[in-house]
Amino acid sequence: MSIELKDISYVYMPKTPFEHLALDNVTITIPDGSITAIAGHTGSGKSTLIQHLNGLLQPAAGTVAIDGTDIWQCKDKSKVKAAKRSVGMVFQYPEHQLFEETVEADIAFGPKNYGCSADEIATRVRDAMAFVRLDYEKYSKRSPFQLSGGQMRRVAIAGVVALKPKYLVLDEPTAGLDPQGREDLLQRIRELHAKEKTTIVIVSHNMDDIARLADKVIILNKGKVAAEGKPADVFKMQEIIQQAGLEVPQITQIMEKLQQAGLSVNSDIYIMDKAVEAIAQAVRGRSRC
Amino acid sequence: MLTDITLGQYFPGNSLLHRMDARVKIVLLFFYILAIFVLDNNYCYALNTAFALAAIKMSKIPPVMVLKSIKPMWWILLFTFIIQMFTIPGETLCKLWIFNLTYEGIVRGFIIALRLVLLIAVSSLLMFTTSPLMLTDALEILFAPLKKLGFPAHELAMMMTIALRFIPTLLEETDKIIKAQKSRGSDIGEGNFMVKAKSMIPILVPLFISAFRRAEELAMAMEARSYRGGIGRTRMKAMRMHKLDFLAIGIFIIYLIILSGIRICMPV
Ligand SMILES: Nc1ncnc2c1ncn2[C@@H]1O[C@H](COP(=O)(O)OP(=O)(O)OP(=O)(O)O)[C@@H](O)[C@H]1O
Ligand SMILES: [Mg+2]
Repeated sequence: MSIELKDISYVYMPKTPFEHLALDNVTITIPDGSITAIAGHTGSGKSTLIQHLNGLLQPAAGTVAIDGTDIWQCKDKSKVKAAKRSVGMVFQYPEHQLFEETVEADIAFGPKNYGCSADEIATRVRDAMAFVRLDYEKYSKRSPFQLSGGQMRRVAIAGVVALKPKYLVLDEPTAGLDPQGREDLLQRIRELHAKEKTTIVIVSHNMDDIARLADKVIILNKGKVAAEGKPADVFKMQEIIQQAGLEVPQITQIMEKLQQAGLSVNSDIYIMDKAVEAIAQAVRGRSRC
Repeated sequence: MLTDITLGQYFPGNSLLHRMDARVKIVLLFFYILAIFVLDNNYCYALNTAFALAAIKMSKIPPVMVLKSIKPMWWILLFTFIIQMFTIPGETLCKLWIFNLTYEGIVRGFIIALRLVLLIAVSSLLMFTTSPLMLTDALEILFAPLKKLGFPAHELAMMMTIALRFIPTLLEETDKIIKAQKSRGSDIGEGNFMVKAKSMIPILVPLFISAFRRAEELAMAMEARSYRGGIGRTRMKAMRMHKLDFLAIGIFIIYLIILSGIRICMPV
């Protein structure tokens, strides 16, 4: 089971002179159980693309299938609704969507809409708050507008996590967070993936984050898929990545430089531990001869 | 989508109309509208229509865009047309219950609708070919004489500039918030009135908060750059009239004279 987008095209402001082809014949698959990262330069169509994953945008051409249900063709309304609801969406700057009087009520908004029982809602709110590391006793009765930006973001993310989606889509969740907060959030996402088996789709500019997190990478360039595959394979395509206005992860860059300087290491390494190991080995090998 | 509207949108370009001075455009538009409504003569209507079409052609704005700006008024146009059709006394064409459909009514209804269409089309042309900044600057200058009477010309112009600037931003924001709440399972715009009204709260609260946040940021930024109202304020780009503007004024005056001549000589 997976989300499959096939030959998707999307046009903003069609039939006006401002017409803009934001997605051009995009075909991607989000495999079940994966952490898929979508990267691309500003304006490459990342946000537009992910809004197709739960049917917020209807493509001008192409099909969207969530677990085999074509959400724009299938006649069975309840099936389509269920399919759409299996995808949770955290937007860019999600803290701007908070509205309730208390943190608790805001997180409960989604589960309430989904028709959960009062008990179920209460447990989900507690779980979601624990997940984003917000102390229930301390914060549940507070107004979300009295929190710091980072805390507000956590509340917003908890509001989506409380829906227990099978697929969780996050649009640049770490934008504007300090390094500590960023690390923390990525750790939470990893944990959600490991414990709840949630499939993760994450949009990011930051190739270092992607290198540490993802097991699949999709690079967008001007509305087209420039590269798709395992991180190691994608990071090898330096030229394509640079054409797309991105940079390969710093670790890969370092390995590349070392290789050019004559150290016998592989340049397709993008994880810190592996890099340390490879360098140590190469240095040892050199000192021996 | 919500952000797909074109109403009141500037449309960058380099046509003759784009290059004209905004003040001249506003004044000419004023007299053109006056002409539409004062010179009630079939020949004048025909000429005015030709004038509007020529102006659209000259502006190089796609006619579709102009039509789109008329679209929101469609119901009002239809309504006035139907009212006129049945209420003007004259030669009865057919009878519907107590209403008489008259030949005169149809003609009258058509003329009124035509006047409204011309009014909207040419006004929207002004919006399409003039950047909001130019437009409000021009209005401020035109209303400047009224400042002596205590009319807050500068303040109004500044308010208009800010409003025009933030309409697209707020629409975009609304669109985003609606999508975010939809993703949390809220059914916006479904159910009866009470349910509908209630489903607006999750949209309106974040929208107002973001509007106030933006307003505060803007106020702070303006203050940080020592903005203190219109007193003693000069312009970086002073508006100046060019040959093109004088030419336009000349042509327009001749056009008005011809129209008035027709109105006086041929009272149809
Ligand atoms: N509401 C809209 N109306 C018109 N054009 C739009 C709209 N939203 C996005 N676009 C255009 O579509 C293109 C893709 O936008 P999108 O928001 O998907 O980019 P992105 O990859 O998410 O960028 P970023 O990294 O800045 O978030 C951009 O060129 C943008 O100008
Ligand atoms: Mg984006």
